[in-house]
Amino acid sequence: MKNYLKKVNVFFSEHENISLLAYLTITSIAATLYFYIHNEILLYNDARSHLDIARRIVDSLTPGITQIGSIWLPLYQLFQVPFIWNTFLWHSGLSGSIVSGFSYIGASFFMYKILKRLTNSTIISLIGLGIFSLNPNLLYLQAVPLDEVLTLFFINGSLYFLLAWAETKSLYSLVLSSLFVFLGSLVRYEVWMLIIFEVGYIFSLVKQKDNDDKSGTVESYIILFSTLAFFGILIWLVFNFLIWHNAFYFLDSQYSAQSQQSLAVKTGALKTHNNIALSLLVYASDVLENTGYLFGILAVVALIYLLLKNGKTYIKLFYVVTLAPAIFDVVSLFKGETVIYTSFFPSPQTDQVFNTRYGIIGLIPITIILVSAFFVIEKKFKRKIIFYLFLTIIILENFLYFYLTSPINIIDGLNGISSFSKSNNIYMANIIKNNCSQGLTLVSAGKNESGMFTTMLPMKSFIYEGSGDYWNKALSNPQSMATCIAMTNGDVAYQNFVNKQELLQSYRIIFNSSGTIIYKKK
Amino acid sequence: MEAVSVIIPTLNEGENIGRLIEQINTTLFYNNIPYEIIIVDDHSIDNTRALVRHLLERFPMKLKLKKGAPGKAQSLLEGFSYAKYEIICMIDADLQYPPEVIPQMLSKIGNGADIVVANRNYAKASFLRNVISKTFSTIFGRLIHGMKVDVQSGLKVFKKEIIERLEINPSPWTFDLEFLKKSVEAGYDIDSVSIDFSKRIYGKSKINFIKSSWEIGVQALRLKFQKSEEIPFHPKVQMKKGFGFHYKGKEYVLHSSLSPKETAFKRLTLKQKNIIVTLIALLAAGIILNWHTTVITLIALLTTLYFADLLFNLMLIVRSFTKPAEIVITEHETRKIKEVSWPSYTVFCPLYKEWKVIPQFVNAISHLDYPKNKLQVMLLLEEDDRETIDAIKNIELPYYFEIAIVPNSFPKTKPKACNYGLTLAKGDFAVIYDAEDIPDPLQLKKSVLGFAKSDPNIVCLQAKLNFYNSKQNLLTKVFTAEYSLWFELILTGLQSINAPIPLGGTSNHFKTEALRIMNGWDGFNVTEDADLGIRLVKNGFKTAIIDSQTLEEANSNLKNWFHQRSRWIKGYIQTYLVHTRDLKTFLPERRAFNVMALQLLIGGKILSLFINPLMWAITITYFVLRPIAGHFISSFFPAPVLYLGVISLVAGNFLYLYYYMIGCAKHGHYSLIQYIFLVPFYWLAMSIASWIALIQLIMAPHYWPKTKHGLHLDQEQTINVAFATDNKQYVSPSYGQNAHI
Repeated sequence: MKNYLKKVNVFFSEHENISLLAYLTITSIAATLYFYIHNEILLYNDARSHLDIARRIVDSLTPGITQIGSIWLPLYQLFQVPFIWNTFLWHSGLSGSIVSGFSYIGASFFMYKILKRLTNSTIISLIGLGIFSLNPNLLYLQAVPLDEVLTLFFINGSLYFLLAWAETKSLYSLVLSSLFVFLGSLVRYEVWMLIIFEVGYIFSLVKQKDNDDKSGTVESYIILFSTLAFFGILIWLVFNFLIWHNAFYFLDSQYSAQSQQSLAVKTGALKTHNNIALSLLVYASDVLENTGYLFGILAVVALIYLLLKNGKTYIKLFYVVTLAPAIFDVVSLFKGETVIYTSFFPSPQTDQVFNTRYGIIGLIPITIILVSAFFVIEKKFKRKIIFYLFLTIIILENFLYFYLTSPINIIDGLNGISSFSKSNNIYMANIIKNNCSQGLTLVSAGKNESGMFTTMLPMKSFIYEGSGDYWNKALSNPQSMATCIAMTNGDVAYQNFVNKQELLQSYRIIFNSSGTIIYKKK
Repeated sequence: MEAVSVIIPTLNEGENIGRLIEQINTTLFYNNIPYEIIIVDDHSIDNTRALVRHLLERFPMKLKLKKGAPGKAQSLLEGFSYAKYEIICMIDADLQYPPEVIPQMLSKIGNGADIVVANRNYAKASFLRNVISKTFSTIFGRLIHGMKVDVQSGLKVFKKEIIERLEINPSPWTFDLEFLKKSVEAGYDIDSVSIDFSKRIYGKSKINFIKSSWEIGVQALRLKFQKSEEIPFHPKVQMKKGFGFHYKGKEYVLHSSLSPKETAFKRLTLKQKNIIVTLIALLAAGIILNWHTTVITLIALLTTLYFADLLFNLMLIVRSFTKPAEIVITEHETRKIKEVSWPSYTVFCPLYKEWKVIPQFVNAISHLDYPKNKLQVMLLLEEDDRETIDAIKNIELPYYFEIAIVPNSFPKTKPKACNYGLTLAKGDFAVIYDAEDIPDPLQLKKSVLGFAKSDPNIVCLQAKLNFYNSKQNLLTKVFTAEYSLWFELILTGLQSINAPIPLGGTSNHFKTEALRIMNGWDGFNVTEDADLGIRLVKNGFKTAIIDSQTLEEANSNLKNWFHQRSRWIKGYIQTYLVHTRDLKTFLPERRAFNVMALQLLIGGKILSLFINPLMWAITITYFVLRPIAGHFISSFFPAPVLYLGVISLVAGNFLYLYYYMIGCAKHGHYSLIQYIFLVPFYWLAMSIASWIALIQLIMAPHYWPKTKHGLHLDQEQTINVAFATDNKQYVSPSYGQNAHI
């Protein structure tokens, strides 16, 4: 047995990268197949929206890059373009799964590399890889068309090269860290916070080394890193300005998260707004539900231990940097710009969970901190019992806790507010599919994206905000081009047409329920 | 006076030939001029040959029966080939030209003239002959060809070497004009004497005036529009001056046997001209037939090129990081070699009106860690640069320094001077340094070891160049960033993919023998370094980058920068045109790759400099005048072109800017990174320089606007930094004093 293990060890050390990639690829494909067979790929409203936005780049009345939208950052949709033109991959959601799957492989690979760099121990890094890559919530998210795992990939890539730079001062590593965070900044807004933390990290490390700063080294490192890192944000602002004449359209338009939550803020339904303690608790509970309670709690203890014990400053600061995306989500909750409902803090109105997947970002700092602490303790006491204890915790957490219950992100997809099956869009989709397939349907994509997807009609069957002149003309004179008009309470079409009596001269109402109205031309 | 061969073409001149020979003999014999007379008879049917045969015993004479085509011209050419003396006199046999003037004409040759023409005074000739000859001379000689002599005169004296050098293909009556025109183009001086042109007394004229005038007129016009050719030196001259030629009367001495076809002497070949004309015609036809589609096609092509350039540069940068190919020699390695074992090394330093930096150069070279008895440091001074030649006499040079005065000739370029230096080089290895250079003291040793441990096909090692006055002003800061990018990332990237490397102006180290095989530098190319880099590849050789630095002076004056930059761009255009003349001159192995690299590295770079402002202007116009012109502009960008264009515009411009930052950081110029945001203005200046370069290429292709060096010399701090930066063991030189080493 010992010989066999030795052989495995030798093989792994000689073929480390290929072994890791093979393991991760097999895991990714297996998990995706599992969720595909169980019809759980398209549970989320947002999953369908991501697919639609990507599809519209190649299939719409006005196809092209301007279809990438303006609220969600564009890279995840853009990465789907090579696959989304295929109707099967679009309708099945696999075009998104492919991107998420590759992201999972990349994210887990870099997680292993980060741990290896921190601990220099293959076995401990592999344990960390197990914690990360076998997390059921992550395995689910890597199988579906959602952008969280792509974010994890870029975060891990950036963190790995940042750590490499901190250790070696290699210019190449700094540039690559900047490149990864630049890409991440075009996937999810949490990464914007990471950029700020990483800049602070570079500043403190260089300043520490070069106290008198006569040569301008500090500024130079920061400029070198920031120029690329912030370039994605700049592109996004410019894009919003060019398309919508407002650089902050993604922030303050009617479809922005801020605007979406503003009603809840006004009515006081968003309890986290201006409540930092509750924001922290809600987000912490979300992270715990994503990563497992035991891991989460142990990680908090481990972080305190690691920060208080004697150690290298650059590593301590690195732990803090890993928390940046999570801090962004807490701040968003506090500012009322996002909403998360967890099992501990469910929706006051419906008692459902919502947006629980945001907590998956916590898996990064938790894995890193936990494994680092284990490494330090194991090294200090050199007792095998500690090793086995840690391994037992992992098995208990991942294989007993998670597999006896159901991962929170599947629960959210099946029964949460995120679930497509719980939204009105399912009715809208059926009505449009059965009544409007022969002509164009005017519909506001901002609120009805998943409904459009579910019709399974080509995207060029719809006139929506991204249709340019078609949209403007249809709003002023819908009879000239729209066979159907579909609207949901609060959307642009609703504001424009509801109670407009003259419309009834040309259209008749074929559906009116729960705030959704559908007109069809007579 | 020198001996002369007198050539007399005859055709039925029996009544004149005897008298003429008598007169010639009398004239030359009594003036003590050795001579021979060569009669070339064009198959006369009278007693000409019999008479001549009769006289053969009395005079030093030869009679030759013409072998070739009928006509006087062919008779003359055959006669010249029989001449044994170095001076030739040609004279018609009709007794209309007085042979008594020959001594005077020979005397003019003795005084420096190459050709002496007897200008006819027609007082004694017929009126008609007078009018026709003068009209001809004025129109075809003077007006069309600018000849101030009597072109058709049948009496001329000239040096035999002229006829040996020139390739003349006359029709029966058109020898004279072609001979004189080509002689002028070959750089010969023409002088004249006046003679009284007599009426023909005996025999008949063989000339049909109308026919021959027409023939001569047509020939005059043909010659006018005939392409001038390079006329190589006569072998005797070549022995004295080295390889060279004349072109349009100007003398070019190259000190290299590189064929003019391989040089930038001519801008375009006929094939290239045809291609350009065809492209322009196609463009014009496209615009006439469907201008909109034509513009779209043009934009699509340019965008594709931009995109390809973007990918190519990205690949180079990534490769330079991931596959560092430069040769690294440690100081420890250099210490292992005994001082006596180092090979001899020649250092070329071409100088032109920059004697002020010589002390700095002497100081820098003296600090080279290389056995001085193995060094041959050659200061290459131009013969017409009296200022430097005089100044250098007051500088006490170390024993291993030599001064070589490059004879004054065209082209007046640095590569010409280097070629001259190469003829005198004794080193196994050779390197070029500019006078203001401060090389890494271990550079020569590193180079020797670098050659020793690398592929034998590597015959050139390029050291990295950078600046010691990078902080002098904004211009030098950005210039330094550009150099850092070029030498730290681009060139190393090129080496990593085995692509041709356009060499930097200085600090290129060569195996001297290989340099000789390559025939040195192209004396006509104003970026001979870039040219040589490509030529090395064509000859199956390779260049590598060595991790050793030479510090130079960055151009700190904007006007001076424009001079330098426009020259560089002009040289790049020359290089591109020379090496695309015949793509088969690239070796079959990797031909496609090397040609593609040339297109992107040189062709693409040049084109983008010209096109960049246009693309920026289109973008700015689109956004500023979007409501008015937006639709119109976007109609030229169909989706695929638009996407490629946007990627190239956004990613391309950003990445280039970022590469500058990386280059600075890689070199350690951290404090310059913040100035990289000014680079777009620098690019704009480069585009302006490219237009200046194009104009210069057309107006003065070989003109070398000398870059002024030594602008940093009033900055003592800069100088101190210069020596302290790269050569930490240096003690700062005390400036203003001649360094004595």
